[in-house]
Amino acid sequence: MKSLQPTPTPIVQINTLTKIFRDFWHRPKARAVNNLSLNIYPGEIFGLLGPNGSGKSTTIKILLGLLHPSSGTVTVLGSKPQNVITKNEIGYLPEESHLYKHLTARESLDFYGKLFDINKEERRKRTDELLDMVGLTHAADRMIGEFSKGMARRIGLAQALINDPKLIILDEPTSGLDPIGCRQVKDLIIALAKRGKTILLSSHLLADVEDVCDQVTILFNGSIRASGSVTQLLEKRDSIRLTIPTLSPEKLKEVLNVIRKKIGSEPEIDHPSLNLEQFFLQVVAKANETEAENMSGAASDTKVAAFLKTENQQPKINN
Amino acid sequence: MKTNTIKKITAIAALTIKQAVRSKTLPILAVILPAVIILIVLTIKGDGSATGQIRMAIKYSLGIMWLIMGIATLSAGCASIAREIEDKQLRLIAVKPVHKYEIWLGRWFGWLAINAGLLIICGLTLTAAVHYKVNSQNLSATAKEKLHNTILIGRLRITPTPDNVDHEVDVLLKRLKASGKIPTDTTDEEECNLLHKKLIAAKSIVAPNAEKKWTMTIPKAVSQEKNVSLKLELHSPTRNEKPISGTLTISANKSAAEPLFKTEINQKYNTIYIVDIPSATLANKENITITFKNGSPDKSKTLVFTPGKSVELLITKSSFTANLIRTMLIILCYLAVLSALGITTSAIFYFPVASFIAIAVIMAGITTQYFVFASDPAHKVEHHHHGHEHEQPKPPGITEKTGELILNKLIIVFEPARQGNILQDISSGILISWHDTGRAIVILLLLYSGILGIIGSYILSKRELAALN
Repeated sequence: MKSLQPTPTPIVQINTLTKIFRDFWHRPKARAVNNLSLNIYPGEIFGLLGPNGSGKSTTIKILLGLLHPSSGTVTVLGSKPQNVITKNEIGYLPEESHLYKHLTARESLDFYGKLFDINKEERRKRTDELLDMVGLTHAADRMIGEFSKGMARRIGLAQALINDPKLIILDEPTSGLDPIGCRQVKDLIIALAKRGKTILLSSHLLADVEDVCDQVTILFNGSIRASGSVTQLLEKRDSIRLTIPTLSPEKLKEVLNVIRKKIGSEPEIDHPSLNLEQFFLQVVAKANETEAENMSGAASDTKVAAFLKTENQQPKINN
Repeated sequence: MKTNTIKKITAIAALTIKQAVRSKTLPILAVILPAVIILIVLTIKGDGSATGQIRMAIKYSLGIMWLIMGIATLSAGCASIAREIEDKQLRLIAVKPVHKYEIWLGRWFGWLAINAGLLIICGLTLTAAVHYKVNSQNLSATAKEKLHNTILIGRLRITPTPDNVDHEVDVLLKRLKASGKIPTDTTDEEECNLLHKKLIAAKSIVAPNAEKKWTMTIPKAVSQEKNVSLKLELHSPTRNEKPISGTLTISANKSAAEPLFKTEINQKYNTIYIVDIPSATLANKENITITFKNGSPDKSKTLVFTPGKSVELLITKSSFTANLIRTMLIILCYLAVLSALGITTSAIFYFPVASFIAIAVIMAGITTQYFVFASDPAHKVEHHHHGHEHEQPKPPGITEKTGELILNKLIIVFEPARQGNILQDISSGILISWHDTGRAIVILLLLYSGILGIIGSYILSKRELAALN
């Protein structure tokens, strides 16, 4: 029997979106997005995947009101992307952290907090929690101009969360981060989704998307080429994998004979292996146990700032 | 305005100030400007006299300060939004719940605060430097008093009522018409303007033994003032070595037998003659008549009194400090317009195109005062009369007509921004009134900056802030 649960309203609705960039004389220069339609539902981690120039960033910029669609309609949290009130509920991490280099990390977060009209005490609390979350408490009073790319990325992520947003848009969130930083960001994305945040993630790094996304859309030349859940898209339905403990040669021969009889062909046998990321993280974890001081920028374990509310704690926006 | 709007504007203004401080722009200006003022005040020679030195010191130090601050404000304004769009920093603000006018106002208020701070530093430096200069020159008590009464002061300037020559113009016009001496292509209005100018000019020339009268209306609030002086520009177009002499009298009205004040003038050269007038002279007087009777031909020569400029009654109304504060407020208003122009052009164009456009607008604003003269109908008639009398003038072509149309529009746009020559006035001890200051605040700070702000914010709200990568 099918459940009769109502279909939730999408947080992001894109219908037949097309974006054509024009030159000074208004002649078409590039068709960045072509007839794109997609919906993103509450609580989803939605991956926008595609090679460079496929239209991922352009789509995101249209969602944020930074670009205007040439045709088609876009609705974010029930309003047009240009609606200023809706922006109270959106957090955005651009592909490069375009922060003011003359401000310190703490001042940056405080400045963006002021733009959300968050009171002083709350701003101070959130700033401290976010700096701790991204592992930059030790660099809170350093100018952003002195930061490494990875540190700038972390503070960029922190500013995207200062308003405790409902919808988080992350453009290439792991670019410039070391493998530990990448893993932490990915774990953070999963943790945020567990708290009911909706996340739109754009990346050309396939592993990032595969690790964290529920839904994936693959873009190429501005059009959708594939779309669905990660499991659906990657599953090989014509074969299965059986993982068992290592057997003695005699027992293995016996098992193989049974399988050969049943399937009538030769099965493939190999040892399950770690991917390089998992192996690297294991090496670093072991090294950390023996080193007295962690010298890398990645000083934090995956933790989520306490002020980032779960879904049922979120205030409803009034447009 | 909503509280959260003010908070956002304040946040962006504070960011602007922080950026100016940390990029070293503000500290460098805060050092350079006082240094330039001190250098000018301590080294300038002027005409050699103490009053001349101080007058030049004030005028040039304020002028150079204004120029440096103007360039800095305009460059910063032109770079502000344009650079932030290029460097993509504006994207992070634009995706926050911030209206585009809040971004514009934040930047503008930021530079208003920076300029206000710099002007305070400059004002204090100038006051200290001028007082040091006055006290370090070993001047006599009389010379110091003269300096404090003529330059380091704010005196209200009362100019004479313009000569009414309307009746004489009518008579002359009728006579010229009757004798058929008016050119066929000249209208009555143009001829009237020309005759008016000629008669006024004729009345400005005072030959030996002739006399010239001026009428002045004294404002009620002024008649009780104590320190009053009369300034008379004695200028002769002749180059002979004769001195200038004559009698200056002030009377209650044109027909009064007993003058209120009388003095003899004997000067060797063309000069600006200033004489103190007893305070009782103007008490309870609504109108006064000033008469200059030129000396005999053996003791004086022909003089020319420029209409509206040659005679002024100067009445002490303010201290130098208060006058300087009002001057600085007017300069702040001009800088606010420059800042508004810079920010608005940077919201429309990329850097450095925004700078070129802003500079072009300023140049057009400065040069329209010459356009006003060139497009004056009386000037055109005068030019025609002095030209070849028998040559028929060409009718204006399409280029000339279009040019004149654009010119007239530009004049309408820029003319209200003119606030007189405030540097000339403050350095001559002339009062910069609260009325002048209020006018600058309303026209420059609110009207011009407001219009530029509306244009800039509107375009910014329509503009795509993320270009194609």
